[in-house]
Amino acid sequence: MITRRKFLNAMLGVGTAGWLGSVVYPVLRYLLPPETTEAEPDTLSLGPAEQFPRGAGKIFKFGKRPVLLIRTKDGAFHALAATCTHLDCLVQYRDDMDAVWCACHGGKYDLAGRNIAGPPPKPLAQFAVKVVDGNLVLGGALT
Amino acid sequence: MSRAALLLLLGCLLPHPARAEGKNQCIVCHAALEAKHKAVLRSFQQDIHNQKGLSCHSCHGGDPSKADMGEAMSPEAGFVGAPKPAEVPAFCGKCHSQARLMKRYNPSVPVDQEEKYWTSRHGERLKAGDEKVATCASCHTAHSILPPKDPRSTVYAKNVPATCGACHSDAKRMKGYGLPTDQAAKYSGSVHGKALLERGDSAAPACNSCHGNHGATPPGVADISLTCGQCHAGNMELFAKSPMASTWGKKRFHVCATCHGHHDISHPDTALLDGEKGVCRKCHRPGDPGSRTAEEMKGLLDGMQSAYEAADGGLKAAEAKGMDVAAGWDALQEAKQAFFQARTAVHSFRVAAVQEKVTSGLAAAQKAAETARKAVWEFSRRRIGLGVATLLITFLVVVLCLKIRDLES
Amino acid sequence: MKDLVLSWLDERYKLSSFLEWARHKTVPVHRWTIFYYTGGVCLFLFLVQIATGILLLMYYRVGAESSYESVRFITSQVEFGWLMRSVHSWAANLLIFFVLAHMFSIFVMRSYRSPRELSWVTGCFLLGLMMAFGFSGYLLPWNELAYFATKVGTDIVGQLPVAGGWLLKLVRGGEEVTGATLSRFFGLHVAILPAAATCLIGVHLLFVQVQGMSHGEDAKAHMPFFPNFVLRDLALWLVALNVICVLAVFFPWELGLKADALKSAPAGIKPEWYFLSQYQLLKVMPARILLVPGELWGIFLFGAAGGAVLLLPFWDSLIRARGKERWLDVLGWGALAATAALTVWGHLS
Repeated sequence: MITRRKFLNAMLGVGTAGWLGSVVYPVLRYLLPPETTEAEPDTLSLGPAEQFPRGAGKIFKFGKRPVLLIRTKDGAFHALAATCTHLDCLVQYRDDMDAVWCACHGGKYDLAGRNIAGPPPKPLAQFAVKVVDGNLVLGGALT
Repeated sequence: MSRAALLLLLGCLLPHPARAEGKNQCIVCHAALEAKHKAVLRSFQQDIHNQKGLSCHSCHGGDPSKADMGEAMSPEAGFVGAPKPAEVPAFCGKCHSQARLMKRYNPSVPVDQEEKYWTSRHGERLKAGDEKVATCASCHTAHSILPPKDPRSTVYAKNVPATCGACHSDAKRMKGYGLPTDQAAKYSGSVHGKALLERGDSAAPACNSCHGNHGATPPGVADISLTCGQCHAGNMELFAKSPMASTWGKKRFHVCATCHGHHDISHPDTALLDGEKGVCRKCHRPGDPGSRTAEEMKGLLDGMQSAYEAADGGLKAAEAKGMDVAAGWDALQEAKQAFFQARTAVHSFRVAAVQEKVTSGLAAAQKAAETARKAVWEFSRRRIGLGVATLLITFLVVVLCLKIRDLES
Repeated sequence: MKDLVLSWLDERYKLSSFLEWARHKTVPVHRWTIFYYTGGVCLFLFLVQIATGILLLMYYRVGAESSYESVRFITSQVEFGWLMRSVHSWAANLLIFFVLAHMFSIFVMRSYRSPRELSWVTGCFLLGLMMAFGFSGYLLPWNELAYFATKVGTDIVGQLPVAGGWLLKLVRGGEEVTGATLSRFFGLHVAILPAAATCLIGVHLLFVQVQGMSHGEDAKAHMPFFPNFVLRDLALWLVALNVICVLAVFFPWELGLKADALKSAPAGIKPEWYFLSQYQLLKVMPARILLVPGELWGIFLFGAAGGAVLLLPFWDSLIRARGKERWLDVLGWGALAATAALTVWGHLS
């Protein structure tokens, strides 16, 4: 025979368990880090530096910003924001011009990101790029 | 003798206290003249030549130190007065064509304006004796000349369409030349006009960007792609490599203008590629391979556009519900990039080239739409989750109340 | 097994005496018993703040370059991050509200009178701490609203005579509101204030335990503190939790745009509701009264009002001695009405 009191105590247990569940579950899910582990990454590793072709550029996603990584013929690396300051087109490195060029309206930037010709009103932001133990590492914005 | 000249004569013959030694006598006298002369003096205050330390006699000759009008404005003193229209280019050119002289004021200033001017349609006609055409002062003004980078200047990018339009939109003035007078109106409604005049993008082309300034002339058939290609280099490169280039050359088509027009170039949409009403119909018949290519490209671009709009709408709807869809906007920006590139790829006239860009753009747009869908789903999930949690907690509250009653009964 | 553990603990920590104490502790039952729960709700909300605050610290990264980004990351990327942030913001506002309600109920019951003067004084300091929590925490997301609200709020400090400029620098960590201010406020919000509040709450509760609940002697009935009152408290806390969750889901706290010192202040910038009355008072003060800037009068006025509230138990006896008990009611309700009116005015203007 289940007494009223026993039943109430059992229900109290059930209720407490339910309450604990509704508090603990969100907290545990919260503590589990999401796939992208950080708001704004400090660095981005891009693999062995020597494998990056000379006289070429490639666009990487750094956090949510596209960044143009350039390696000149003499082997030096440069990293610039890849969106043109004129109308947001993606820029490209042109080995023949030794400059960064925007196909949309012919805007040109030098390898330090300065707008040197065409419509761009502002320079491109520069990013830090370093070779650490033979690996290419992209750092935060310099400007 | 006109009244002005009489006054001038009187003013300069009589001794005057204001006429102190060392003062510029041109200004002293002309300031005492009627409004028209005063206005010239006033506008010359801000003129670039005045700012650089030049004065009336630098252009007009004469001797400003002489209070006597006869002496000051005598041919012996080098006085030349106001030039006739035909004399203006040489009048300005006596300094502006002198590299050695101009270097003193600005080492990088060009000195070929006069030379270019004689190659322009204006210059050619002037040489032939037409005094109605534009000379230096028509665009730069005579006495309030400002450098082109100065927003007050008549030749500042934003003011150029109005400056050219002052003559070219004037039907009476243009009569006899066989020129249209609607260019300025067409331009201001064009994609370039809107960018420059409405959005204030000073990089957008004004009249002179395509026609040249001192050498102003309509671009020839062969040059127009080069003219547009100054800025639209990607499109020009693709077109030049396309099979269309040689055929158009033979037919003497205006490379860009055939499809896009010139003064009234509007922001291109896929209607240009329409099999029935599009520009391709100028040569292609419906159903021929060219028309089919156009239709296919149009289909791809339209599909991309609607995917973009759907994702955009989805993200806005999710945001209206208070959800944070920053990642979705990033993806949509990526889609927009691909869309730009797909539209550019049309100039290769290859479906595959367009297809490639559209595919990557569609993937990005779908990612954005997916983010929006997830956010909306998450929105309802939060409410369901809240409902469950509320039920659980309310249940516990009820049991607690019963427990208290039980304890106290 | 349970008995074994209990006896083991009892041997060492005199657990039985604590249980004995709990069994004997009673709560008076009278028409104002409901007011006793306001303190409990404050304690619960404070615990919620500690818990969600610690959770937010797992992802929050202080700094002008990272604060906004990390809060955005919490609300958009971390599972239930939006919930933690919204609960923290909502519970903060409710906490201030309930501290005020608790305080006013004590005033209505006259429970601050001898021998409980210091309970009142510590309570007043706790209100101050909670407001400092609110003010410092508001800046931490480093968004536009927070930036300008902090700029305006700290400007008031600079108005003070003599030490104003120095104090402003102390508060802002420089001449302007910058990343340095953010660091300062962060330290204050997560270290100094929690430590101070925890100690003061301890003292506040100790006073209540030592002296017992007020009106114990005039109450006809009493209920046991444990379990009767505790269970009621728990039920109420759960209701409060429910309310917070509903608010967090249906009215999530917005993040807005990132702070930008070069932008002009957005229109209609206002402080949180609990600072609105002071803000409005300063705003409507005339430029100068008797050669002294109006703002200074405003600061002086609410400084004096704060002082009067803090020292209420000490000057209250003077009024009571003259038998003018009604004056207190008029004063109390009048002050409440004036503050509410200023707040509503500030909200509407």
